[in-house]
Formats: sequence, structure tokens, C-alpha cells
Amino acid sequence: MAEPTDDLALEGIDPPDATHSDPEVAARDDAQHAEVMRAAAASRAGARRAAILGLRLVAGVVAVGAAAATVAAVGLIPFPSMGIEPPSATVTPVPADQVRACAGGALRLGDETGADADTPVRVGQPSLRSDSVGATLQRSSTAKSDAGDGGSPAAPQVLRIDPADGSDLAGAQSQAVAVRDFVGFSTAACAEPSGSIWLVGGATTTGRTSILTITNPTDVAAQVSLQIFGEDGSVEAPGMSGIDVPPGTQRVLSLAGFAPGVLSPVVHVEARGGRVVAYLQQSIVRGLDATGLDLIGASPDPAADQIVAGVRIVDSVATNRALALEDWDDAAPIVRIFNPGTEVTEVTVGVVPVGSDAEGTSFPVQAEPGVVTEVPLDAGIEVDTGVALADGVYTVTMTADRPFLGAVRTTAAQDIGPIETDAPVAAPPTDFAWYAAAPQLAGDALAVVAPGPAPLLAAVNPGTSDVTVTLDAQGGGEDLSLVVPAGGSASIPVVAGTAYLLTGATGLHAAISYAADDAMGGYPVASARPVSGPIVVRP
Amino acid sequence: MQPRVTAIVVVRNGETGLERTLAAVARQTRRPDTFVFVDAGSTDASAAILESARAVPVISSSARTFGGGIARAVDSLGPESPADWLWLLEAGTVPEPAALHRLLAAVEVAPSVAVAGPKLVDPVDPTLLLSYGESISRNGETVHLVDAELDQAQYDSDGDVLGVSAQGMLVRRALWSELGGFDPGLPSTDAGLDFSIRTRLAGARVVRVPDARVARASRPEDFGRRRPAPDGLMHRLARSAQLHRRLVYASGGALIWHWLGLVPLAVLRSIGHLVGKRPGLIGAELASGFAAAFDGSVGRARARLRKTRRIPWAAIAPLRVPADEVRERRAAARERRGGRAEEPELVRASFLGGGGAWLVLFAALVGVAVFWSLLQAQVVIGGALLPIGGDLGRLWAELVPGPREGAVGVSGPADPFTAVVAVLGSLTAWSPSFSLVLLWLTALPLAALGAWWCATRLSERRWPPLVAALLWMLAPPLLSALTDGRPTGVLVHLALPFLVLAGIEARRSWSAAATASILFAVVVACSPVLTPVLVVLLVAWAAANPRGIVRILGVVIPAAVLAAPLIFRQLRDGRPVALLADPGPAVPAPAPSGWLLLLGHPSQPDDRWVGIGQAVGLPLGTLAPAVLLAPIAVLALVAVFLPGARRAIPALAVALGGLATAVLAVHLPLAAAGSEQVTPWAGAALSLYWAGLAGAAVVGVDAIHPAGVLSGLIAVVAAAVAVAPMIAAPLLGTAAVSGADSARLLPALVQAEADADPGIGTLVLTAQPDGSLRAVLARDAGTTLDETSTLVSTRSSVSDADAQLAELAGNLASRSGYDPEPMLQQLHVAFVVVPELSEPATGPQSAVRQRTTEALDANPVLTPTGSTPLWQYERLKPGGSAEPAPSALAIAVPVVQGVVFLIALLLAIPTSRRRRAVRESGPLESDPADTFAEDDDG
Repeated sequence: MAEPTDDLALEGIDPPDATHSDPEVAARDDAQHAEVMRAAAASRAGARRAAILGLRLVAGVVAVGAAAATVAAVGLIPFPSMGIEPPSATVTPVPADQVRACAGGALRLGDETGADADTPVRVGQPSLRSDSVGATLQRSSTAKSDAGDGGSPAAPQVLRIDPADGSDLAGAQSQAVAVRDFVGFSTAACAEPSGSIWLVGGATTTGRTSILTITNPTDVAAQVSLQIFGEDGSVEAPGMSGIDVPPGTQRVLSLAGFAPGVLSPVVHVEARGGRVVAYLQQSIVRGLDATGLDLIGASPDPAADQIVAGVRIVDSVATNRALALEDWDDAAPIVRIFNPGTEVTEVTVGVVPVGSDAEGTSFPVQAEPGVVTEVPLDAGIEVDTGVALADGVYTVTMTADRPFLGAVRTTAAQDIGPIETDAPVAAPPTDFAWYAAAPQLAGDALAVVAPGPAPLLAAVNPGTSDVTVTLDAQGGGEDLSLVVPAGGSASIPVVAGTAYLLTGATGLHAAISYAADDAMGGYPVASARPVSGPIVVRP
Repeated sequence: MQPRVTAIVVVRNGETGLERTLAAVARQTRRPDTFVFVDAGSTDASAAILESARAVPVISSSARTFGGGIARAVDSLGPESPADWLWLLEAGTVPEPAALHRLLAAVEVAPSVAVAGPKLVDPVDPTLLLSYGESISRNGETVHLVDAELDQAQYDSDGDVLGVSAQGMLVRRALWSELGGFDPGLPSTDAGLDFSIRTRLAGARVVRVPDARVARASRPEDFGRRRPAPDGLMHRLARSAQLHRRLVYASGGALIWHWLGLVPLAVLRSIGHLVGKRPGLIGAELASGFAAAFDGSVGRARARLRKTRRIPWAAIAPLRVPADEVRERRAAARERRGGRAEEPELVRASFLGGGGAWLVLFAALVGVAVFWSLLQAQVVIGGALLPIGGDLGRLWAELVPGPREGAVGVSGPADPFTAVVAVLGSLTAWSPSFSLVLLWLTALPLAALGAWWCATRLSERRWPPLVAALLWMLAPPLLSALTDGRPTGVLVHLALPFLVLAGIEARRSWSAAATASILFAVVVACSPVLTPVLVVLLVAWAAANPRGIVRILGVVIPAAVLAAPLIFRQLRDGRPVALLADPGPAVPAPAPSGWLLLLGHPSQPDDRWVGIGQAVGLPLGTLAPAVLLAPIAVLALVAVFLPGARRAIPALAVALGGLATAVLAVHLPLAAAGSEQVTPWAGAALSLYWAGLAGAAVVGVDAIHPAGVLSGLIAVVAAAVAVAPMIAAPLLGTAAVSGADSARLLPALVQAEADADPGIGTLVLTAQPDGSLRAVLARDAGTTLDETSTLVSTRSSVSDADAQLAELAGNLASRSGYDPEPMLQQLHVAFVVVPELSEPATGPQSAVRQRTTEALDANPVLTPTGSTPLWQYERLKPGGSAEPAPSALAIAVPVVQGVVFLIALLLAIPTSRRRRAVRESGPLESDPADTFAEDDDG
């Protein structure tokens, strides 16, 4: 309180009364007067001091109150924001060409004499059927192949259409081979190139040859890396990454070169740069007998649900009998499951016959992470007849909590009759097939039926209402119609060599399959993968 | 022969002094033989007064000047005789009764004398000499031999002078006629001097008469004016007269040089006025320069001089004032002015003795310790820090309105901040980015220094400024700016104390006002959102100091000039609010809660107590700093109850303004960075908030002396603990900023290509958290700090150019049949970069990035390069679109801005004597600081 002149409270109040100390005045005044003046001044000063104190107190209380109000307001009141929204433009990409690449003719490592075991050699030429809707199909041959037949009709064929609304294209090839040690029937659909392909199938144990073919139908070189998983987990080997696949080239690689002696491989092909199409070709030689050939196409990406449509069982009794032969263990129908995740998951496998009232069966499979698991397809059936799965068409459904991959293999063989000698028994005519899971159809789909025995289109309806699919035969032929019950499946024989436009098939899973005791095969019907959707760009 | 004296009294609106003049003339002991009264167009009661005094003859003159009136009167006189004398008087001059007698006595004894001048004295105090003889210096400047001095007969011995004033002059009529009277080109100033010089050159003498006194009410310049002429007008008249005389007196050969030099000299002298803190005289200087250049009266005056001059100039040279004497006189005049000013002494703690120096040293050590990792760095990166671009030429060229980087087709003026960056980069011209490293390393000591200095104005004691310096150095907004990489926040925080200091002084000092104006421009350029509150504070300060209103309000001028082009542009685009957006790169910051703002924390992650709380299992976030910073708030509020409230209340008002601005800022998303809205950074406003809070707290510390030392210590220690996690962040590596050897915005390959082919573009596709894709086209090696623009960051809609770029980007990020080549060529894009995502990335963000990289990999036009996510467009034709040369108008913009800042700088250079600073008072004395006391206008 020592410096009143500095005080806020002074504002508006007269300055201190200094004139009364004027020496001349004081000198003239008598002592009494001076005394009175001093007293008056003192009392005025006291009153002033009180007033200052009061004002100061008021100012302080006001300030504290204002501060409290400010703190409460800033801390508690949710003030609204106002400003700009970040600008954005939604860009719908210009549609690109549609491309499919086929597998090409069957391949054998080494010539007929067994020499040059590292060199792939083409065996024969597949029958290719292809068709398109809404645009003109252009067909070309891959310019280069490790098999040395680039540009020939046996090399992988590339199908292409210009972009147009509602256009689609499809192709499928089949090939029956019967050379000395290389017998069987193979079929596969031509596939859309992709940067990530999962192949479930094959084996590299003795007598089992698996050849990986990677074709790059795009204009950009692809750097491919492989991941191979087996029953013992991931397989590491040199050369699995940095595989160059130049544009318009097919590379042929022996899976055994990376992963020898693997009973149940699963291969993941990843491409950077150009996109590729990959197939596994498996052939089996049991003892000295060539006993089958198959082309394994891409499985859908790992998902919590996998549906394999159109699994064919023929000559089950005869095949069962052949199992007793030496090295025929892998002729039994199995389901191969791979869990690419990091946690164990339980896959429930359901096997349901198509078009019959018979109840399906189901069984659980523990899928360890990073490990391929194989389970007999009839594991859920209580064996009383000796024949687990009756002849017919089956749908195999697999569900789990986590994404996984799954595929089914079946084998057919002619009856060798009861085995009564200990001497080696000649192998019967036989063949096997891998059935990849069928992707869900996103709309109308074009299905091409390659030549082959007893072609059949099977469809699975995971939905809750019946679906009627029209099979519109392209280029003449009988149109068909198929009712697929809700939650069930149906099949219908189709004409080999015909292309059908499946309308009303949205949401279904469908596959074409062939069955004979020496010619098994099948491939799923796929919609074109969705083109790149619109993207929001913020410039 | 008896001399005959004609007294001529010229009156123009001189009613106040006319009667006294008439009476004085009438009372002369030696009465003039004839009177002539001249009414030079009076509009007041002068004519009536003349009439009532029966003064005859009255002649009306159409000339409005004193000289003109005399000339008119002389024309009306009868035939001339050699003994005729003219006594020149104007209304308001009051001669003493013996004046004429003594003047005549002086001229009668010396026939060579043609002009005699009396002592012109103050009408109230006749012993005060106002004018008694005039002369000129070597370069022709008028020198008043006597200027308001007490008459102690000190000049009485010396009668001969070069010239005398026209007022009260006694002049031989024959000479008057021969010389043609006063020069019409010299209407008031120097009329008598010039006439005297011509008299001398005609061979006659001019004397001053010591015992003749004439009191004068107004200066010659005030003839006919009701109010005294203001300084500016006086200066213009004096300068015009000097230039006129120079042109008249000059020899023929020198004339052209003098004439050519008029305007350049006026400009140079204007600069001198700026440096001399006399900005009010600049207008007069320039006006007189131009007026002299087109002065039509020079020719006639030269002819008259040529005709009447009989003796050479050299003959009168001894009567001129030598240069050293002129200097002496000037120094004496300054001394007298300084003595008059009676400025209060500035009491403050001394820098060394008061501990300021030690504190700054301590702050420097802390700064180096905290930013240890920057010691060897060439650049500092992170947050909103970008490197500063290449060479100085390009740095300053950014100020020219033109294409802005970061977006296609955006062209316009630069942000004011660009100028700040240019200055900053020029400080370390060899490596502009290094200036930011220095800024980071010196931020703490500079903050401490500024706050200490500023606080010496709030308190005269030794401790409070130290408390202020520590609080300012430990301010959460400063430490946030340093750890989060906000160069604008750091600059604002460092500039604020100096701005406050200069702003307070601005009311009495031009130098301080100019300094404040430059600092204001820096602060507003760095944080435009502060502009409203700072302008309000300035207006309030001006209202409180009406005498300094021009200086205080003038503080905004440089900032306004700097921002004018941007203001014009944003107003034209209808987006005035975008002017408040932060300059520099738009970097989103998680919005802080209101509680955090109250604690001075400008963004959510700055509350680093959260992490410590999680570690020890206590909810320390927000709570710990709140408790630890509470002592400051308590001190600030206590100050209001105590003496010093006059200083504490404005400080708290400043704090409130800063807080309100911070709250406003975080709710004002004015800019966008990809999918995220970006608000102005609240830290700068919180610095203002903190300034007010710390200021009030310091007043409190000062007021509760001697307990203040302890309370201040408690506040400082608690504040230090509160911000300890922030200080530790750079040491622990959790700060956003870090040092680097070189700032690489884009992969090295891009940099190398850009060196070879300047102008190449790089399309930077950044996946956004919401699954959208940000597409930015960067030129050369990337967008640097000087190239950023709020015109780009505050765009609210998609222009055609943006849409084209978006189409290119969207298709490049998709499997598509789009042919990107024409667009890549058009935009001269050589590279596409998809930056790695900073953790944690959202699902859509990863997905869109994968989609983009896959599509780019599959694009046959682009070649993947190296291991970084970089694609090159190899078929790019060299030589991109050359930028058009900027127009003259565009170049004029920075030139004009530069001139304004040069003027401010010249004005800011301290040239006048500074206020005397004395040591801080001892503990027993307790005089208040005079910061807010009424003060004179120096």
C-alpha cells in the first residue's frame, strides 16, 4: 500500500492534496489553523485509503470471478467448429482391357528318354474353347515360353477384349495325354492375371511331379516371389524371390526344385509390376505306371468360407479297391486346408451330395497356422459299407473363424477286381482331379465348357432363397435352366465345347467338372474380378 | 538632409495585435514622417480597427504576403528622395518607443548602412531575444544568429551582420527600389535575409541595432495565420526558401546540377529524417524539393541579382557562418531541446548485475543440452518444419506474386510468412535451412532475454524479471513449438516480449514504434490468427495514449502492406477468413481440450504427463500440469488485489485475449491436408495468453515483496516440473523434431534428376486415413518452407486443374485403361512417389496405399525405381513448361513492400539519445515503474 499513485483505485479520484503544504500559506496561518488542517488532511487520507482498499478488493473479486468464469467456459462449453471441408474429387477409373491367360499345353520335364530333366518340354496341344460377350475376342499366343514353343498354339493362349459395358470373356482348355509315362486328363479355365495367386494342390514326393507355370500376359515385366507351405510349415529355398517374368512370357519351374519331398504343398505366387497367371500341373507315376495328370488353377484368396462345387466321385468301389495297391495311398479323396494366419483355427468341413436327399456329413479340422493339413473327405462318415462316399456330385463347404484356403482332390480308377496274388498288379486306367474352391459370382458370368467326358455344371447357393440360373448357350445350342435351392446346390449336364452365359447367377458358386474313370477334372466358374472402383482423390 | 521615415504597417487578419502595433507606432519618440497602412486582404476585424484608429492612408493589397504588401505601399508613395527610409512593420509587432529613434541613429552615423534591424524580442519577456541577425552557412542554410536567448548584451558589440529579419527592418528607400524589394519567391521565410544579402552584394551594409527593440508576436512564417504554422509547414517553408535561394545564388554553370539534384537530394534528406526520427518532415521535404524544381520565380530573381550585384560573393564570405560553428550551434540547440524534454529516468535492473546475463547463459546451456542432437545437424525436420529452399535469389523471388507450389494452377501473392522465411534463410545464406537449426538452439536463451528485458519495465526489482524470463522460457507453448516442430510458434514466442516492449515505448518514441511495427509484421505473418486480438490491444493502447496515437496505430502499417496482396486476393475470392490460416505446411494436430488450452498446451499429444501417468498407473494427464501451473495463476490473480493492479489488469486482459484466440483457433479449420482439416496452431495464441499470465504473475511477485522471491521461486520450480516431460522429449527421442544432415523431401533420385532438369514434377500420392488418396504435385526436390502458400492449403473447392490432377492420380492408383502419358507430359511429371505410412495406419489407409502401389507397378508407362516406392516416367520430354516471367506489377509488389520495410528499419535505428537507465532500486525503495504512468511525448 506504499505507493498510492500507482494504484488503480486512484483513477477518477483527485490527486493528493498537496497545495495545503504550500509554505507561504502555512507561514501565514496560525498554529491552530495548521493543526486543524493537518487533522482534516489526515482524516481525508484515511478515508481515501479505505476507498482505495475497497476498490482494490472489488477489482480483485471481479477479476477472480472473471477468471473462474473463463476457465469454466473454456473447459466445459463445447464450442462449434466452422471451416472448410477438405476438397475432394471422386475419380472413376477408365475401364481397362479384359485379359485372360490360359495354361498352355501339358509340360514334361525332360524328354521321353528322361534326359535333360531340367528342360520343360511341351506334350501335345490342349483343346481351347473361348467366348466373349459384348466385345470382340482377340486371341494371341504367348510370345515366349521356357518350353521353347513361344508363339505356337500349344503355348499359353491370351484372350483379350476391349473395355465395354457388360462385356465379359472366358476360356477353358482341356487335354488328354497318353504318352508312355504321362497319362491323364487335365483341364483348367483361363484366368485373369493377378498380383497374388494361391495354388492349393500338387505334391513333390516320389513319383509326384509338380510344375509351376507363371505367365505374364501384361505389358509390364513382373518380379515374382514364391511362398511355399507344406505339412511341416513354410519352405525356404534359394531362388524363390526375384523371379523375372517378362511381358508375354511363360516361366516353367519345378516345384521340387524349391520344395522336394513335400506331400501337400500350397504355393503363393506374388507378382510386383506386371500381373501374372499361375498354374500347378501335377502328374503321378506310381511305380512304373503313369497314373494321372491334372492342372491346378488359382484358389480364391483366403477367406473364412470356402465352397468347392461339383466334386465328382465315380467308380468309388473300384477306386477304393485300388487303394490297396502299393503307393496308391494318395488316391483317396481328401480335403487340403491351409491356414495362412498366425493363430490356430477350426475349420468345419461339410460334404453334401448334390441332387439327392441324402444327408451330408461334416467334421472339424484343426488348422494349425502356417501348416498345411490334409484330411480324408470321408472322415465324417461312419464306415459300414466299405465305400465311404457313394458315386455322385458333391459340394464341399468349409467354414472357420479366420481366413484359410481349401481344396479337394478325388481320384477315379477302373476296377481291378479282387487282388488275389502277391505279384505286382498292373495299375488300372485312372486319373485324379483337384477341385479349387469356387469364388462367389458377382453377376452374370460366362462359363465355357472345354471338351471332356460328362461335363456338368454344379452350382451352390449359400443364400436364403432359391435361385434360378439360366444357362444361355452362346452361338447356338440348347439353353438350360437350373434351380438352385436356398442353402443347397444343384447340377446340370452341359454340352462340351459350348459357352454358356449364366444369368441370374449372382451370389452363387459354380464349377464345371468332368468325370470318367480315366479322365477327372474340373474348374470353377469365375466372374471377372471387379475393376478398380472409384477412388476419392484430394488434390 | 533630415531623413524621412515612412512607416509601413502591413496587416492581414491581425486583429489581435493590430491595436498594440498602432499604439506603439504612435508612441514613438521619433515619429515616422509618413504612415502607410496596408490591408493585405484581411477577413477579420482588421479593416475596422484601422478605420476606427483613423489610420490613413489604408491601401488594400491583392498580394497576401508581407513583402507583397510592402511593395504595394512603396508603389503608392510619392517621389523618392535620397533621405527616404522605410520602416517595415506588420500587425502584431510592437516597437518600443525609442526603437525608430535608435535605428535612425544607427544609420545616420554610417552612410554605407542601407538596412538596419532591431532586436526582435518576446512580447511578454522583453529580455528574451527571438531574432537578432541572420546569416547563412557555407551551403546556404539559414542560420539564426540568435534563437530564443536571454539578452545579456552578449551580441551588442557586433553590429555588422549578413542579414536581418524583415520584421521591424529599417531600409533605405532608394536601395529598396534598386533591389526591387523582397523576392516574391520568398513569401515569408528568409525574405529579410535574402534582401539583406542582396543589399550586401550591392555594396551597402546591413547592421543590427542593439538598443532598438521590437516585440514580435508571431514569426514571419505566421503572417496572416490565425494559428502558428506546424512543424511540417515550417520545415517546408524553410527548405523551400533555402532551395529557392540556392537556385538564385548559384552560378550559371552550377545551376543545372543544383536543379538536377533537387529531387534526389529530397529523397536522401527524407531518409535522413527517417533515421533522425522526424518522419513528419518527409512530406515537407519532398514537397519543397518538387516545388523548387518547378519554381518559376527563380529566373526573375536571378536577373535582378545579376543587375544589382556590385561586389563579388567572396566579399561577403566572412559574414557567413563557418561549418564548425554551425555544428556547434546545432549541438547547442539539441542540448536545449533535450533539456526541455525532461524525460523520466528509466529505472531497471542492469543486465549484468541484475542476473539477466547469468540467466541467459543458463538458458543457452539448457537449450544446447535439450537440443544436443541438433548440434551437428544441418537441418531440423519434423512437424511443420520444412527445409528452406536453395539459394538466396530463389528465396527472395518467392515474394513475387506468381505460381504457387503444391497444387496445379494456383497462382497469386506470397504469404507474408514467406518474407520472414526469406529473412531467416538469408541469415545463414550459405545454407538457408541451417537458420532453423540456429533458431532451435537459441530459442531458449532468446526467450529468456526478451522476457527479462520486457519484465524490467514491469518491475524495478531484481527478482521479478528473472522470474518472468524463466516462466517465458519454460512456457508450454514455446516447448510445444520446439518439440512439435512449429517454427511459426517459436518465432512468435521469441518476438512477443520485444513487441510488448517496443509497443509500450511506441507512444513516445518513433524508433520504438518502427521497431514494434516490424515485430508486429513478423508476429502477424507467423500467426495471422493473432491479428484481431493484437489490433484490439493496439487500439486500446492508442486510446489510453492519445498523444502517441499516430505512432501506435502506425505499428500495423508494414504488416498491412506485407499482407495487402494476399488480403486483396482472398477478398476477391470471397474467402476473407482464410487469411487467418497458418502459413507453412498444413500439418494437422489433434485438437486439445479446453482444459489443455487453459494450461497452455496447443495440442493433445503435448500433454506428455499422460504417458507418465500410464506408466505409474495414475491419471496424471492434464491433472499434473494443472496442479503444477496453478501457482502462476494464483500469483496473477493476487496481483489484482495488490498495488500494481494497474499493470496486472491489462496483463490479464492480454491473457484473456490470447486464450480467446486460442479457443477460436482450434475451432476454425481453415486449411486442409489431404482428408484432414487443419486449424491454425493454437500455440501462438497461447504464447500471448502466457505473456499476459506471466506478466500479471510477475506484477504479483513484485507486489508481495519480500515474499515475492519465495513465491516466484515456487512458481518457477513448479512450472519447470510441469514442462519437464516436454523438455525431456527431444532427449528421449519422442519429439517430432530431429536433426539431419540434409533435408530430403523426396527420394535422392528425384533430387538428382531435378538438378539435371529443373522444373520436373513429382506426383506424391499419400494414402489418407479415410481411404482417400492425396495427390500433390511437387516441383524439383520438393516443396520447401518458402514455397508453401495458404492459397494452396486453404482451397475449399476443386478447380479444373485440380480435377485434371485428380483424374491422373485416381487412374494411376487404379487398374485402368487411362493413358496417363499426355497428362504426365503436360504437367511435366517425372516421378510418382507413394510415401510410406506413418504408424499407426488405418485399414482403409493401408488398402488404398496397396491398391496404388499395385496399380503403379502394373502401369507399363512407369518404371519402378529402386527399393523405395518410387516410379519414374522415363519418356518425359526434357525442358518442361518454363514459368512465364513475372509482370512488372508483380515485381513492383515486393519492391513496394521492401521500401516500406526499409523506411520502418531506418526509422527503427536508434539515433536519438536513449532514456537514461539507472540501477534498480534497493530493497527499501519501492517507487513504481513508470510504464503506465502518463508520459511526455519525446
